Amino acid sequence: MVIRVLKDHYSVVCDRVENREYYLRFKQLSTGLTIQGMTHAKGALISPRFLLQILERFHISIPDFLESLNVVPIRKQPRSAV
Amino acid sequence: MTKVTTLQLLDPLKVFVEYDTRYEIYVAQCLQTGHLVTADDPDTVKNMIAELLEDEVSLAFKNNDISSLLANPASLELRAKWELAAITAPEQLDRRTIKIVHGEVPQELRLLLGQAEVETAVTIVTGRTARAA
Repeated sequence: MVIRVLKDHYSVVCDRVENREYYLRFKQLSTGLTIQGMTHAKGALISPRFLLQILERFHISIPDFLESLNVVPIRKQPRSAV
Repeated sequence: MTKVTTLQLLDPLKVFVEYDTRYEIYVAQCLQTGHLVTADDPDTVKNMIAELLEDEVSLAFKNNDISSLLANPASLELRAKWELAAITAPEQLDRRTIKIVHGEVPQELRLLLGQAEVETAVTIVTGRTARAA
């Protein structure tokens, strides 16, 4: 969900590393800014601390992000939590 | 004359580990690069930050892009917390090494992990005072 919102609303794409699904490399296509990290405890979720760092790096305000999160339609197929 | 390499400028990489009481998770962040990871226990979070830094520093050297690696350091507050932990409990500094692929031969980089037993707060005093208009 977070990755989809970042991509759809802020042109931030996430590159995955082969065989390491927990490894996240974000890049904002419009600015070239990047940030790298991992999911919480190498699981399926992004921690709030890392999410805050991502938003700060790409100059996305928290209210703006929450609003973007609210307008994303929920998909029917089960997907990864991140 | 001793030659100083770019890798030496990063040696040691300093990491601060603390428990975030708000989210109830352990957080490890590198002071120089700003890289941050989270987990439910301190050992996992230390292993994760070591893995992340090993990869990201190696990649930065491979791409010859050290400036991007160092473009977003941790906050001054976190630096102060690390220094405080290093001064008050130097024996608790977790010393590790990570392997960096720099050129053809892998090299080692020291990793110093400072940790607070309890959540700490550091206030930065600038010395500036408000002046009445």
